[in-house]
Amino acid sequence: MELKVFTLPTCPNCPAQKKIAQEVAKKFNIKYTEIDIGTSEGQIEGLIHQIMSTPSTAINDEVIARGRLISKDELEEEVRKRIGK
Amino acid sequence: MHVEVPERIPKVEVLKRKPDIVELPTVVTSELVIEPYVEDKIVNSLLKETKIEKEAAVEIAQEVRQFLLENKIREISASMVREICVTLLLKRGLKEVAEQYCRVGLPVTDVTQLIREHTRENANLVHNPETIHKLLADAVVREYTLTHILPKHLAKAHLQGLIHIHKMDYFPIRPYCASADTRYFLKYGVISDGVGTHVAVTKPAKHAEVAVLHLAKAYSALQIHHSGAVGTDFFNVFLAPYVQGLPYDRIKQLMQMFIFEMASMPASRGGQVVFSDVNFELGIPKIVRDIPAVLPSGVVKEGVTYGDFEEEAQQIFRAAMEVYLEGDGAGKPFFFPKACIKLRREFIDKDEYDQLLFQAHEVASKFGTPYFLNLIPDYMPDVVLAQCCRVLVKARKEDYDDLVEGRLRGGQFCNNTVNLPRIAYEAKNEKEVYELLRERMELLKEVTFVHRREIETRLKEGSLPFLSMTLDGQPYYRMDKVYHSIGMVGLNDMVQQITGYQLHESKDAWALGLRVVQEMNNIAKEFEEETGLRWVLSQTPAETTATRFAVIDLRSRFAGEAKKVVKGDLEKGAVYYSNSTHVNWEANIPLIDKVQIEASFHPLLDGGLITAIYLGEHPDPSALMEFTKRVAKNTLSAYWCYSLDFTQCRRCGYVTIGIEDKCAKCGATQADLEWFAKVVNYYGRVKDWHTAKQVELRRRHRYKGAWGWS
Repeated sequence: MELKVFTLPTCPNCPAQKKIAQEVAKKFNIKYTEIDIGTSEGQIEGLIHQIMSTPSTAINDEVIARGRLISKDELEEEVRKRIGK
Repeated sequence: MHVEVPERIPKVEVLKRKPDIVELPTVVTSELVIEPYVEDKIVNSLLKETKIEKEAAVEIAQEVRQFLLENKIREISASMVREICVTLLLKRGLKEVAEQYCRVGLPVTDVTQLIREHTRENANLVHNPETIHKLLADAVVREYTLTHILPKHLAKAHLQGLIHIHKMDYFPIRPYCASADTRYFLKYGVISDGVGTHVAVTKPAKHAEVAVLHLAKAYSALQIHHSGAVGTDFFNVFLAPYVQGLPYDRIKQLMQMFIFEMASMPASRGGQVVFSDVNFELGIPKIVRDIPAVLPSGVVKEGVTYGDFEEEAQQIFRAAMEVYLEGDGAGKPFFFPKACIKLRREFIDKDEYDQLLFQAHEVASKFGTPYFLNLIPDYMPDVVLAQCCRVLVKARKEDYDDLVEGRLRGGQFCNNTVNLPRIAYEAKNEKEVYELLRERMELLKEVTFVHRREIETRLKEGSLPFLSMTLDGQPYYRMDKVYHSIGMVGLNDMVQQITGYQLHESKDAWALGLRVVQEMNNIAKEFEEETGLRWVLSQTPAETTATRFAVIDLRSRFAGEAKKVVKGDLEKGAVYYSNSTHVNWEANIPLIDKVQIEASFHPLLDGGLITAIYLGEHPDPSALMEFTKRVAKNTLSAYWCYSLDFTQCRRCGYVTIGIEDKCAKCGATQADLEWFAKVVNYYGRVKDWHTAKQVELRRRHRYKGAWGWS
């Protein structure tokens, strides 16, 4: 399982989202990836995930928050649901 | 000047007079007058029209005389004399002079054919007297453009299929698509010739009926000045003040009048109906709520804004959808005006607006008439007009004054296309792909500047009078506000050539496709900085271009490569490349995958795009509406439509869904059947399509029962 956070250097909520996602990834021992959609490669990864706004968060290829901050509790719940599957 | 053409050219014999030299022929001039042969005329015209030396001109004229005498020619037309001159010029190695002096026109056999037979180049054309005239004129202007307007290297790039220059038949005389602000015509009335000397000058409409008729006329006037489509934004919003206080049945009658007028008025080139688009709002969006409304008689009253007319705007919407749902008198969908429904975050999932959205989906399910423009993703601005097959005109920050002032007009000046598969054949690696991409886009930039120069000249000369109007103190057509578009054909086939997989077959192929379009987008942005003009990237409709490129490539030194990736029927020669950045229309993949792959390109295509969802059934309107909402909220898709195909029996009148070879009601077969489908996102008569497009239609994957999300 992989936790992906889509960010932009200018986005005010991104640092908080990154911190939350890192903590959740550590807690569940899953892979954590940051994608800066301001770069050429990052933009393409964002487009494939239907993401143009930040912060956005995906578990594997499934986007669970698009252009909004997702709380730690909510993110943990989403991860738990998928581990349980 | 109107020249009266005699019904019958007098026979040469009746003018038997004594020429200076009896052996020389008489000449029928271009004014259709019989004149004795005068050698000086050749010398003078050569000197006037070309860069030939006088001595050579005199010699050519003498050689012509010699030729006529030797061959005992007693009667000849001026055009044939000119052809003899051209031959002699070529013999002398004066190719450039020959090109300056030659005629552009048609061989007799082509004229005969155009008069007698139908064309399939454009699915909108009906065979009628206007069409015949249009096609004759098209042929002349197309050749003139290619040989006498475009520099040789650009003409060559087009002929070799590296690029496609669209609408060449109108290149020196018209820009492409018009986006119009209905408030201009509501405020000032319509002077349909642009100057008021050949037509009645109208004052601003006082009544709703007149307002609607004025708008229909404005569409028509704009159409004859443009080679593409005419569209208006906020249609029901800006018309709303005119229907205030009217009972609903009158409003319905008005919409019926407008839609039938636009769907049947043969006011466009070649007797076509206007290629028209009407953009509808589900309510009065915030962005226009506080703008002072143009009221009947074109007046503006302090404190009266569009926000005061939401109920009326919604009644217009409802009425229009009811008319669309009923279809025309034969039970067919209306092909025009195309109805675009805007989806905005402020209206989505709210009961009041959902009722209207549901109505639009009833129409979508029955006829595929509405198009959905999605302003929900963050990258989409608040003011976007959708028109033509897939043009989007996105207002920029500096245009917001125009929104307030009623000057939301302009459109796409041009759209020309890069042949992407050809680049894949030529390039040795991905780096070379981008180098060639830049080279081809530079060619299109040059084409655009030639086109701009022509149109700027026409505007100065007064040949585009409707666009030179200055009723609001500004020129109607503003060359600094229009969009210059670059399009593409065959992204899917390009990535297939490079990776071995099509866009829908591998994530690597998809990502490569995105990198290519991203690079095109970057180059367009560079053009913008460099030229100070607006450059956008658009999907190309490619009604004929997709086939033209494929055919040229199959005849080129890359035939081996092309054979592997062209689509269609190679044996029949009915081949084509995949349209623009679209997924192969034959791909049998889950609908949501198709939508998401195509949507991923949408943010990179600022000037136009569409996802066409072909339906194999009439879906449940509620399920379809839920699908629309999910696409709107969860993908980057900016614009899409649901498309159906219809078979109509001319014998019994029965209309049914699908392309059927036999009437289910009376058993009539092909000759008695008409098929209607969207050729490239607008409806037309299938029998008018060219063969490759008909093959593609039969192969399109159509979706059934796919309205869930998985």
